[in-house]
Amino acid sequence: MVQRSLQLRRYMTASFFRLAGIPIRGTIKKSLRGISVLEGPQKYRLEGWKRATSRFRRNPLSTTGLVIVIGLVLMGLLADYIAPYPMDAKGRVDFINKLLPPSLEHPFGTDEAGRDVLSRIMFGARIDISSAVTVQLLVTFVGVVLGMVAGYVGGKTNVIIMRTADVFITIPPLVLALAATTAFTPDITTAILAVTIAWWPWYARLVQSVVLSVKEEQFIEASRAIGKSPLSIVFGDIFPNIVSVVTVKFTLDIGFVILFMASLSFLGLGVQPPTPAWGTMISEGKSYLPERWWMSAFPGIFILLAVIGFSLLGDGLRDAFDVQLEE
Amino acid sequence: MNTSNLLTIRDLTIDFTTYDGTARVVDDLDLYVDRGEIVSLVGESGCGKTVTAKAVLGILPMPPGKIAEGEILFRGQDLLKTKDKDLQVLRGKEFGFVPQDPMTFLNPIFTIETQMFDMYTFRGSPDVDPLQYLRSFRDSRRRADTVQRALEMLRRVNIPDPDRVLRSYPVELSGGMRQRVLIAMALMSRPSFIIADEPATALDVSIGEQINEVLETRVREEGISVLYITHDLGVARRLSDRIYVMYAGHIVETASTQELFKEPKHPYTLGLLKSVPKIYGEISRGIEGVIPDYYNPPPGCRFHPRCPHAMPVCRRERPALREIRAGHRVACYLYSEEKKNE
Amino acid sequence: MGYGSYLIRRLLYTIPIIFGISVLIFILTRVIPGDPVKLALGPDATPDMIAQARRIWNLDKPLHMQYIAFIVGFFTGDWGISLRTYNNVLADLARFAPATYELTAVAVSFSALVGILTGIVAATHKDKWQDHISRILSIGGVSMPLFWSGIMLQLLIASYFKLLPIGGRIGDGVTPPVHVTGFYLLDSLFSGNWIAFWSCAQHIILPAFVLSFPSLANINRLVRSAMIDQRSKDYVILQEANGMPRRLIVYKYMLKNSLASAITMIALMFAYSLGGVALVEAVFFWPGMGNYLVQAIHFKDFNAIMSVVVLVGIIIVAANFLVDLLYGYLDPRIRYGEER
Repeated sequence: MVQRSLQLRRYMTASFFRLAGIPIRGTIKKSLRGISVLEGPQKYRLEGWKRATSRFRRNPLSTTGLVIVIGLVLMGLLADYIAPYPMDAKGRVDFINKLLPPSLEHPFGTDEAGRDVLSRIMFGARIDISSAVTVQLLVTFVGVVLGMVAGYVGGKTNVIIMRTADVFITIPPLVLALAATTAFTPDITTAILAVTIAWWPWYARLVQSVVLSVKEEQFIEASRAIGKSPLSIVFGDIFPNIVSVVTVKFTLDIGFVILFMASLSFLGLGVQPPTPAWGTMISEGKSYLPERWWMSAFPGIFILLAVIGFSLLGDGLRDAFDVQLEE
Repeated sequence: MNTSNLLTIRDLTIDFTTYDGTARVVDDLDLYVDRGEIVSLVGESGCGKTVTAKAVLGILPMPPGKIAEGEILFRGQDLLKTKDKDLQVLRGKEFGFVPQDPMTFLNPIFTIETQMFDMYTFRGSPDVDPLQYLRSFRDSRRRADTVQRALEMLRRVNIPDPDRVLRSYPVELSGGMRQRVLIAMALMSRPSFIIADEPATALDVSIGEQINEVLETRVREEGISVLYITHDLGVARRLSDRIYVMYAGHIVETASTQELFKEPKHPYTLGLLKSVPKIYGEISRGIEGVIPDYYNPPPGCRFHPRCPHAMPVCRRERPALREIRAGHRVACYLYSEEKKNE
Repeated sequence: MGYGSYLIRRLLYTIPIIFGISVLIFILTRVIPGDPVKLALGPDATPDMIAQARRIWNLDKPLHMQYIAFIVGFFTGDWGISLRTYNNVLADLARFAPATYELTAVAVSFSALVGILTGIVAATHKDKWQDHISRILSIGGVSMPLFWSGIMLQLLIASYFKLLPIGGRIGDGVTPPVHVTGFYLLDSLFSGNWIAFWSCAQHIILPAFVLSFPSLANINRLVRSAMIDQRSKDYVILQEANGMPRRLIVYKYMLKNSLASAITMIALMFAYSLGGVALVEAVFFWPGMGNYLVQAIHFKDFNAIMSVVVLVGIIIVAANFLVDLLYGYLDPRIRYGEER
């Protein structure tokens, strides 16, 4: 709603990590602006994957991000095989070994039901990452559809959609998501829906602004003058630009969605115990503070890791996809 | 070349390093400005003239840019070897800069008065500490004097309503007004040297002419030396005493204004002159071809791909600036001895 | 155009937003499968009691009537009865809201101040160690789950080093100050109650710091980016070329140009913090609206939920409007209708 200065607008499309100092080589708006009449769509295709991958690889931070993400994903996928006590995540309890501090047998200790924290964290990766991806898929779908409709059709439809998005955005996301869980019993599906409800407006806005700025670009007018059909404009010119922007935001946000959902779970309105999601584990461990700190400490580190990993990866992608025309 | 000149540039070479490689945007440039002279640096967009000007002023962005070689002597002092702090003091006391785009060169959220006041009071000061700054507000007589001076300056650049302008924000003024304000700001501290970077280009033709007139009158009056950057030979002709013609990072021809227009020698200069539309005469033709790729410049003379008189030697080696008449120098094999050996 | 009409335009814009928020939250909370009344009254409720309760809570009327009742009630001060506490929600909020706002206000003020200062330092020392440290801290600040960092700090500082209290708003034996604003810190200052002030200050430090961290990180990064941006701005280049001293350019001209977007960011962070505060309140046992909301959701106490969300919405809209005011003052282009 409060979106005035060019600086802030750029900030909205840029991620936090980009501002953290990875060289900004032009945000989406800037690079779109640089496309001249004849060069536009061809320039984009000419960019090609080769250039993108080489640029990606050149940046040590994005490779770090990729490594972290792959590590976490593999951890979740292979949890059955690499977790020391896989059954601990699937319902086994062992009260004799409960509340043990970190040791060689249990590097992260055990919780109040004697379950190995490390194994549960590994299985938690599965739950956290997959639910975050689900949210992102939903949000992307809704956001892209609404954003494209708003941007391309324009006029009253645009105003209605954007004002609705404004209403959603004005409410702090956590508050909105919390309120959205009221209607249903707290569990993982509810959490996914709630986060989707809170998250979609950002995507709709982003897509709408991309569509609007691409629409303004001269090459669209030129295409129309030549006589290209609106459909081919949409798919040929508008879509590629949206794809790169959305893919970047998709990746970037996975980490933050994990954070968001963990927050919901922590408050008891997300994933319910005994399912080993990171946020839930922290909440369960809270009652055993301060002596038994390991139950809450370690899952949090993994959330932190996930956010950093996906953000670095997302920034790297942005750098790689940048349809650049540097001055 | 006289070392008692105000400004002397020797062998200046500037590289720009970007993602796509390193471009040599200025190569081996020699230039001088004498006291009281108006010298034009003429060339098309992208030939490196603005880069040169920025290098002299020390405002070239140095991470992508790099001065590979050369010296820039102001009153005998090499600016490239001067420390930043000293450069700033020097700039404040001696230099003035009139920029190209009046829209973006004025800070939009401060009044003209604030900007002119600060510019006049603090330029050339080594550094300001907060106390000093606050004290400047208390000295009401000094303030009043400065305001008077600013008003006077604005009047002399033909601003009819200086009071109103002083109190305005840049957004309230027209392009022509803003440019006059910028000229006033530059002249206010009585610099000895002004660099003007295409001040008339961003404005309507008639306003631009007025601006040039104003600038010329003021600098002639005070005997200020000027390095005037432009792409417009016509403007250069009207204003300047001497002209340097620049192409793709090199000076290709230089002479006094009279001489240059009487006897233009370099094919590029000839091409430029032919491109100027005239009311009577043949339809003007541009120069065929495009400016070279600075990342992989053509060997030899950088103009040879477009030159109607290109010879084999032109493709091999870059011609040096040779004096063919008094004060008239050309970099072209058409006028040198080597041609005879081909 | 003028400043006045700009403000009026912004003001008019806020009305549909608040209206929209009320509609949205109404839909979200009333579309409830299952029977909240039964839930609230428990298994022993007789059908009579249920029917009576339904009447009291207006649940027997059609949806749009309920909404109208809600709106009317809002303006008359009747915000409904909480299904959980059986109090008037307004009374409940009057108790809990100030605690939350105090915490958020302290947190955001801290993050604004420190964020701007560190942002300037990072920008003026770009790529040196100050910049790197600031960058690492900022990345951490944004990526850390608020509840987790709260717990970790609680463990370290409160439990291990015993420097600060673990939770709560005021010490156990200390009586709260005389109620003037509901902000304990201010109230204790007004009444000269130093014991209470000291106790409250100690209690607010940790939760406010935790809450401020993500905002601090964001503001720092924004100011840094804005200041670095300014460096390549033409008007700065002009001042450099004409020989103005560096410090004057940075602290007067570049800073003021950056302030506009910084302030917008601060408003954004204020809104964001009002969400995160629920987590901080949970960790530090802070008796505020966040806690109230979470309890309300567990109980499906829809009156409370709606009121909290609408209240939060109003505060945010008001804050944004204030920012619009400031922004118009800072940037004359807005006033003259030239928006870039």
